[in-house]
Amino acid sequence: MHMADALIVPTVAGTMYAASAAAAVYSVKKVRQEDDAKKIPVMGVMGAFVFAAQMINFTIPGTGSSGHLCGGMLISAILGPYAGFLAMIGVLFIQCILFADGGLLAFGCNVWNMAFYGCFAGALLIWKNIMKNGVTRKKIIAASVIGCVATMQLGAFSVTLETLASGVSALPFTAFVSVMQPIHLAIGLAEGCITAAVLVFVYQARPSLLWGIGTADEDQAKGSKGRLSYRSMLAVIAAAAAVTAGGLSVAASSFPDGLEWSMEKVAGSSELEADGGVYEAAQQIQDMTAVLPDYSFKDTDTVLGTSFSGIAGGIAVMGLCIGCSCLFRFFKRRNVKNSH
Amino acid sequence: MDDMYIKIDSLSFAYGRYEPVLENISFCAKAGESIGLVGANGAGKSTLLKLIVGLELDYQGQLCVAGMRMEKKNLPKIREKTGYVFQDSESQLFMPTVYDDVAFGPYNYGLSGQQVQQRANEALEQVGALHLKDRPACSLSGGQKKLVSIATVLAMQPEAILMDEPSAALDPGNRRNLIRLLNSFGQLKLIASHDLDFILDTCERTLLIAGGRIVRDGPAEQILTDRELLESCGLELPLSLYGNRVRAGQTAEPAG
Amino acid sequence: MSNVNNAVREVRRISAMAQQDKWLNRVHPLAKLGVTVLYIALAVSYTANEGIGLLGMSVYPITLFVAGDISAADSLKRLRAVLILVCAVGILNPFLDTRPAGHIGSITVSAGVVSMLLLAFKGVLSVLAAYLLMATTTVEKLCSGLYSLHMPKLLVTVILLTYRYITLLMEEAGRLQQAYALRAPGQRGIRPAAWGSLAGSLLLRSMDRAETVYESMCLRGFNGAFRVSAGRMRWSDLLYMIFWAVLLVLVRLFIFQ
Repeated sequence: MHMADALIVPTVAGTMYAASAAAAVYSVKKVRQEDDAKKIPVMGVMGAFVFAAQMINFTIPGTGSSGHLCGGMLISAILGPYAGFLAMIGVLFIQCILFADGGLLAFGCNVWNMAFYGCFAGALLIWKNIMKNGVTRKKIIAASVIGCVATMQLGAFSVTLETLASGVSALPFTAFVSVMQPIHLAIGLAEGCITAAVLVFVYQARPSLLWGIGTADEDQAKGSKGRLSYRSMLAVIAAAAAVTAGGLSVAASSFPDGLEWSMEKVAGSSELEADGGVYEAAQQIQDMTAVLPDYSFKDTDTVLGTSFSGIAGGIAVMGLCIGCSCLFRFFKRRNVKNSH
Repeated sequence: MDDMYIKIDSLSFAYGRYEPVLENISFCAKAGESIGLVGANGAGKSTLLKLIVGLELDYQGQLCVAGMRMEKKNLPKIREKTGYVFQDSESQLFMPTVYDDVAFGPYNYGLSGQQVQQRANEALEQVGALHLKDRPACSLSGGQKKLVSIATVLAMQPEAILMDEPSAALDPGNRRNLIRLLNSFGQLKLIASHDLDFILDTCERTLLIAGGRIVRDGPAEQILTDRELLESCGLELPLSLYGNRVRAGQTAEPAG
Repeated sequence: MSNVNNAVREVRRISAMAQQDKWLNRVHPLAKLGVTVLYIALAVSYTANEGIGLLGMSVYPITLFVAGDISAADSLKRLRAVLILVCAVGILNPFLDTRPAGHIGSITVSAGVVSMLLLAFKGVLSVLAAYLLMATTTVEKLCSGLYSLHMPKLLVTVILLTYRYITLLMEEAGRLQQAYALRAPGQRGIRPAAWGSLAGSLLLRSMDRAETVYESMCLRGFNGAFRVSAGRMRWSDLLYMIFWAVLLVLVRLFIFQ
């Protein structure tokens, strides 16, 4: 489910960065309020655990395929939504910069799709609700499966939206959704079962580790306050979802390049001019200075013209590469000399 | 008795509501002494060390370290003067690089940048690991990790150093190195181990612990050569006292 | 079964590479991060009808691979996963969008093919750029750079701790899996009966580890966050950033339009 940089345009990336950053800031605030220094090493090490556990192959009986743990739901069932969310950000960040899983630009999307839903929706809406009147084995199983399936569906839906808003796929919305959701239903079910198995094991071995068990008494002591925060949390999540969806569509429409293509299909017209002075000015300068003006894949281009400009462009790029390399080599040599 | 650095009187401790791990422990330790805590697995050695640095506070009895009673408000001061080397170096080395790790303690105790640097470099120099300064902890060998984790404690310039199984998982060369290093320290040393040869080489005094109680307290040579006593506590004579006979397949008897 | 061990080896290799003392490694992490993000943003902003211009963007990875003495062969392995994902999304484009977009010789190329190729090329370039960043910048330097951009200290601390313990826990997961495989010949993964206990015991051990880490932090006066400090930006770092920013924007705007 890792989004790649190539699948999104910068505006969508920016929107999702903003949404994820807001959730992260809120979580940092919440964790700081708890003021439990012990939570910090636990978050770090649990992040590393999720990282490691994601690499274990679990056989899905009867299918011959293997399932994996994604971890958002699992980690927030142990650490709670806020600390869990931050730990998941750590996991995704390290995956991003050590394995290039999910791109730098898509990092905001990935945090939102995989960590936000798993931790906030999974823990606050599902786990907390199901565990309200005490914890049992069955409830853990139910919460894990429902939580994983639901958060996986939300995540997959977001991936669909983000990809479509970026306009990189020719698939119509309905087709995309009808491919994405069932696949992730299966993945979610497998993950739910694995998560349930792990949490049940933890429940039997060391129940105090589970989130909500140690704090259940406190919540009851707080009484209605706990319920209120739950309800307000629901509102926050709904608002966040609405803002994100709105933000995405605004982002997409303010950046016509991305959606242009799908619009074209819908409206049957290709005339969606980018307005704005900057674009026009850039266009003018381009026309004057481009290596070969008016170069594009157009029917009117002659074969000769196409190949000629292709060759010329190739030479230009090669020249640029060689020039840059020489420049850096020169600086490097100077640098070495200076340091000696 | 006031020059005693650690004063313990009828100390008992249990984890939660479980069976007590330590019962009625009493002993004192002077500054500069080197004491070995020996006992079989689960005898309570590690728990005793953890109590002395205040990782567990729910004890009964008297426990004073560096002239202060062991309680929450004294913890920062006690811990500044008492270093603890964990059995598992991985847990002790949590910072990105060796240097960051060694500087972690001094920095947190509010020393200036220059002092922190000086302390860290000195500590690394002392254990002979200055060349590892910029390496990440995960790239070190087992022996190097142990040396560096000792340096993290030395950088705090403690008056007492507590060690939990320092020789575990070390090869013979690293082990010998460690013995030489420990013998060069002037601080009070409290070493918990069931590597009796190691204790024999590093400690003058030994506390023999079994079933959560101190069974014997005395000179290391005396306790560690008492075969009957050791065997009754689930331990065996140090190998060095067997001579070559174990290898020859003969019945083991102390050489000394 | 060996994917855990491969991953551990990969983490070690990348970390070792990032720690080398080459000129590109010495460039300030924020300068490199800034250039990388700008580069990826510019590269993915190309649309189907200016697609060929994307070729011009390859100047950045090629230059750095050559001038930075970084082996390009290793980076190619990274491309596999991304290409699969990107192709999965774009594979239907040629079938769905059959409008002619141009000719190569006498063959007509449809817009769908162009957009699919464009997508794949964007994928390659963005992964190469990310690889160049991670091969020359350590996680801790990147974190300290982000800290100076006001990323919360708490988050930086958590990331550093996760980074510190991933190899350790991955090795542990690998050992568990090996121990399982040795006594369950012919099985490709972990059977459901052992799901909970295998991953669960790894979890409990991780919690124990977190406990000792916490103890060892407390003993040395831990007060809630690590100290992180990014080095100063030097003139040469600034120059590096400006050079690439200007060049890349120029390439984006003027080459091959």
